[in-house]
Amino acid sequence: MNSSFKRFFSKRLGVLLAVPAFALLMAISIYPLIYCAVLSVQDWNFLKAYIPPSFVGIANYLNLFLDPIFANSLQVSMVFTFMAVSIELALGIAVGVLFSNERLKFGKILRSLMLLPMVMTPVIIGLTWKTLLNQKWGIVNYFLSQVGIQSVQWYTSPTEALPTMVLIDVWQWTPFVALVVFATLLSLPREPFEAAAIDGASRLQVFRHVTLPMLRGGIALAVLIRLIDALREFDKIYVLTRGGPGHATDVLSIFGYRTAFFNGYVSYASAISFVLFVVIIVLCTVLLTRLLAKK
Amino acid sequence: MRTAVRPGKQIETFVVNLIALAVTGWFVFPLVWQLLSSIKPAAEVTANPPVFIFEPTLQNWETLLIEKAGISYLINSIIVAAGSAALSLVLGSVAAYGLARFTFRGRDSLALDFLSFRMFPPIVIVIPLFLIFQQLIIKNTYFGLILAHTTFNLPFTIWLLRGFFMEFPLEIEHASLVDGCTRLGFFWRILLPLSGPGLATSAIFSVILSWNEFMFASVISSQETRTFPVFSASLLEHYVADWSQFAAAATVSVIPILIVMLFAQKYMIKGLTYGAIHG
Repeated sequence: MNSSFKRFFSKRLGVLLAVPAFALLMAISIYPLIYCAVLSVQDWNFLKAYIPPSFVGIANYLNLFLDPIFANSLQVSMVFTFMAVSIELALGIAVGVLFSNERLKFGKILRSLMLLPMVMTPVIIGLTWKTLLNQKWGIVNYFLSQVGIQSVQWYTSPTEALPTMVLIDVWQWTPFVALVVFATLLSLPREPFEAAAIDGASRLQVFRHVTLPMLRGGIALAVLIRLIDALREFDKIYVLTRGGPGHATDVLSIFGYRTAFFNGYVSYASAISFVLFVVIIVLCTVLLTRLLAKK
Repeated sequence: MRTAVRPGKQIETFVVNLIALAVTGWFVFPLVWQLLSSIKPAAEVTANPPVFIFEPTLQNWETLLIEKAGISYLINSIIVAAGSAALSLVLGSVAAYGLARFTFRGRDSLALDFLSFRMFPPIVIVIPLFLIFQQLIIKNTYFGLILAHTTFNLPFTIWLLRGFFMEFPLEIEHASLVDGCTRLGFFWRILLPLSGPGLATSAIFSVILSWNEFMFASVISSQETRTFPVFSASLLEHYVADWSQFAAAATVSVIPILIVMLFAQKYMIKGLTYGAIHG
C-alpha cells in the first residue's frame, strides 16, 4: 500500500506541484468569475439586501442592449483603446529605435528614467496629470499661454476629456512599446543588416524591409497586452474624471464599478463586467490565432 | 586610437542625443514637477503663474505623513505587498517547477491557463470577491486584500519563474538525480538557491503590482487597512483639494519604485518585457 502510494505520487509529481497554486486560483479567480456569471442572470441590489435575489434569465443583457449609457461606455472604451494603442505603437517604435542608436550617450540612464511612467502607480499618474492640466493654474496651460493658447479645458470639457485620457495613457505606456522594440532590436542577428548595407539599401529601406518585419512578433504581443490593459482601464480615469464630464470618459470598468458600488445594483454590474470579459476573450482569441497562424 | 569623424556624423550624434534627452524629459517632467511642488509652501503650489523660485519647506511632507497618518497607510501597503509577494512566491515557485521540469499530458495548456488569468478584467473579480469576503468576514482585513492581489501576482510569478526554470541546464538536474538527490531535493537544495535572479524579478514585480493596485484596495479595505494609493486619491476628493499634500504623496509613492529601478534595472527590464519577448 505504502509503495503504491509512493508510486502514485512520484508519477504525478509534476501535476501535484501545480495543484496548490491552481486550487487557490480556482477559489479566488475562477469561482468569482462563475459567481459573476450567476449574478448576471439575477436581479439583486445589495443595498436592498432584504429583497432576495431573483432569477431573471437574460433580462440584464437585454436591458444592457437598450441602455444608452452602456452603448456610450462600450463606444468610449473602444475609442479610448483604439486611439491609445495605435498612438503608443507608432511613438513606441520611434522611441525604441531612437534609444537603440549606438551614438546615444548615457543611454542606460535615459532608458531607465524613461521606464518610470509604466511602473508608477496609475492613481498617482492620473492625479498628477490632473495637477499639471488644471485649467486655471496648471503648468501645461501656463506654457501654452506663453505661445498664445489660452486656458485649454483638458478634462472639464466633454469633447476634450477623452483625448486627454488618451494622452495620459500614451505618456504611461509608450515606454512599454519602446522597451519591447529596444529589447527585440538588441536580440536580432546582425547579418541581415550587413547584407542590406552591402546591397546598398538606404536606411529607410533597411528599416522598412529588414527591421520592421523582424520586430513584428515582439510588437504583436506587446500590442495584445496593451489592448487587454486598455480595455480594462479604470484607475487613471476614475480618479481623474469619475467617467465625466457627463459620460464622456465613462469606460466599461467605471460604469460597472459605479453600478455595483454606488448604486448597489450588483447583478446589472455583473452583466456589464461579463460583457467586458467576453470582449477581451474574443479579442485575444482572434488575435492570438492570427498571430500563431502567421508563425 | 582616434578616428576621423565626418562633420555630418557629428551633427547626427548631436541631434540623436538632443531628441533622446527631450523624449526622456517629457516622460520625467511630471514627476520632477510633483517633487518640486511637494517642497513648495502650500499656497504657492496652485499659484498662477506657477512659482519657479521658492523657499523649500518640508511642511507638506510633515502634514501628509504625520498629521494625516500617511505613514500608517504606507505600512498597510507594505504589509499587503509583502504578503501577496510571499504567498505568490511560495505557491508559484513550486507550481513553476512542476510546469517547467516535468512532462505530463496537458502541461503546456495548463501553463497557458495560468497565463490567461492575466486577461481577467479586475471588475469581473472585484464584485464577487466583495460579496464573498463580506460573508467570510475577511473584507477589510489584510488577509482579504492579500488574497485579492494574489489573483494577479500568482499567475505572473508562475509564468515568469517557469521561463527561468526552463532555462536551467538539464545536465545539473540529471547529475544531482544520479547522485541520489530526489526531485524535490533538487528543487529545494539546487534549483531555488541558483535561481536568485528569477526569484528577485518575481518578488520585485509582485511588490510593485500590489503597491500600485487601486480597484481591489478601494473596495476591499477599510479605514484601518487602507493602502497608500487609496489614501492618496482621497486627498483630492474633498471640496478643498490638498494639492500640495498630494504632491508629497505622489513623490512618496514613487520613491520605492525609483530605488528598485536604480538598483535592479536588469531584473526590471526582464520582468517588464517577459510576456512580450519570451511569451
